[in-house]
Amino acid sequence: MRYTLLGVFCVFLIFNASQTLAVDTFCQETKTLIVFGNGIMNSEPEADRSKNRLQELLQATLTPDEFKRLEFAIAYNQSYGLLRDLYESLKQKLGADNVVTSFWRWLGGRDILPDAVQQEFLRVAASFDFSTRVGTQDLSIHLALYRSKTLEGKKIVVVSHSQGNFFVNAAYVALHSGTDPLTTNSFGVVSVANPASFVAGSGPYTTLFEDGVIAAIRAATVPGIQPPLIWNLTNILSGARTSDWKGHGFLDEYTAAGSRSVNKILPDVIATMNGLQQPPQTVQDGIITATLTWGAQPDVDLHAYEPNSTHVYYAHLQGISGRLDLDDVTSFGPEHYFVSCSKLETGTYRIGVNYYSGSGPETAQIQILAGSSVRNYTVPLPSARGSSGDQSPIPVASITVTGDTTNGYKFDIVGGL
Amino acid sequence: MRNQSGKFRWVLTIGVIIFAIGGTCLLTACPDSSGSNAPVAAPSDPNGAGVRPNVRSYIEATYQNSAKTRAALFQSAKVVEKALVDANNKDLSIQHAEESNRASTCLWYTFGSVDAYAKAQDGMMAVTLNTDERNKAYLVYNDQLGGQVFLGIPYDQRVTACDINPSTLPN
Repeated sequence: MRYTLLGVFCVFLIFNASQTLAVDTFCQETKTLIVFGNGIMNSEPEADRSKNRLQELLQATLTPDEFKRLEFAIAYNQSYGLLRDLYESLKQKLGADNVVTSFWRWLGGRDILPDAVQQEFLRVAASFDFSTRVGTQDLSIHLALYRSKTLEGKKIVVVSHSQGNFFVNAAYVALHSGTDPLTTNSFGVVSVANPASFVAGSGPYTTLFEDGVIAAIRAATVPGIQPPLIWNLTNILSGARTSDWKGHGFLDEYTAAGSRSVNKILPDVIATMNGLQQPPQTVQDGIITATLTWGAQPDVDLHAYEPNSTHVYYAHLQGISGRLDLDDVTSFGPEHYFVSCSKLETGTYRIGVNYYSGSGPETAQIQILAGSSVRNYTVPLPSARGSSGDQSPIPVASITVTGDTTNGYKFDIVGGL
Repeated sequence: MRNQSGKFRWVLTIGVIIFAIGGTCLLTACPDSSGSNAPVAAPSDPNGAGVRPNVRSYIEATYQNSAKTRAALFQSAKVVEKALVDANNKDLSIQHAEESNRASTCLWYTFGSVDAYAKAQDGMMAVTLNTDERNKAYLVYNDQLGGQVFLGIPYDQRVTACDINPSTLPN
């Protein structure tokens, strides 16, 4: 069921005086997903701040109606242990006591960094060849989100910072090749502090003259490897309140208030968003969704048991609160089940899969979104079970919904139940 | 001889107890670093329960005039504590990262801007990650999150990320 009123939440989260429940229910029709892809020296909370900064900037720039059509996410990139390497090497150079108490403040730019920390930071940042390291396995969950949001008819803009550019470049290639390539120009990239030699899809980029990390990577580039794109802007003498010693941070440098870079990046994001095509909507958005994909074997089926005991699957597409709105019988998937806000029930939804037909082992990938929670599951399927498996699908996860329409809902996803 | 053996056993027992407490304290709530045995004062609001005494003292001393700020920082501090304890469990780490993002969203709502809450959160983190073991555990936790995706909460619904509704607090 389509949400008909833009910007009207189907669940009103009215907080009363005794309310103590943290709820994460929100239902609004969105048209574009804005994703922040972090560099490797970013902890997850720092990446979250960068996503929030994007949200803050766009909220201040767009009209309320435009802004309500956006949703936001983090594609958190692998660090391949480099933060740990930096921590250990700094302890050796500076003594454990100094590093233990200051490491996170240094990374966050709260304390002035000793020269040795600056040098070691730049050495670690420049010493790793991401162009050969990032593989589709590292990206599988990101790709699953990009594909499921595309099926929902949403444009996607990834704002990638630093080494996050290697990841989004690889994701772009994966999305536009293989068995199910994107058919519309609905995925765009806005690159910030780019250590790579290109931006996927020829998107815009911003690299500062004073960016010490990109300069170090450029200096460390060996013959035969393409160097990073050349700087194209500077915040020097701009009067901006930048505070990042390395000239590289997304928050403290590139999106610092009043900086030339933020005044380029923000219009780049909006122009990229506006320049993309809306992909055709194949499935419905919902407060709960489950998306199943698999490999080359003909048929794997998605099953859902609703709190009201209705069993939703290929032979019974319509449940009381949800619907299987995409069923595939010719390899790869996807299959898709959704629950709209207006029909959400409290209780437990159970998601399962049945390997219906095929001649060898297969693997199912299931992505479940419920409220603001995301979980991904990989289920090995040794052999096909035909219709005999319809009444006993392999359990993947349960989603327990608590709350009410007045105070909002809370979702707990637990695997294997 | 018998007396010496008894002494040895007594010393050994004390040593084992000290070792056990010390080991447990590496990652879980421990007595205040001052070593004081004084009873721990009740937290300044209900969200402070479960926060390590030194972190709680820091938050209460730094933000004496704002119960809303303290409640939001307590929420954030409690998640970090859980993340350290469960750092070796990928599923729980992902769950805690979602809780952490909700706590950050509550901080954002409370402080009003990303820059303001980031500074406060970094201060709290520096007090929380105050030993080598805790730093290492946090790095393990963070590595568990590589490759994951995390959804944001709509801007105008950020207040719903708070465990305690800020409008119910006095200041």
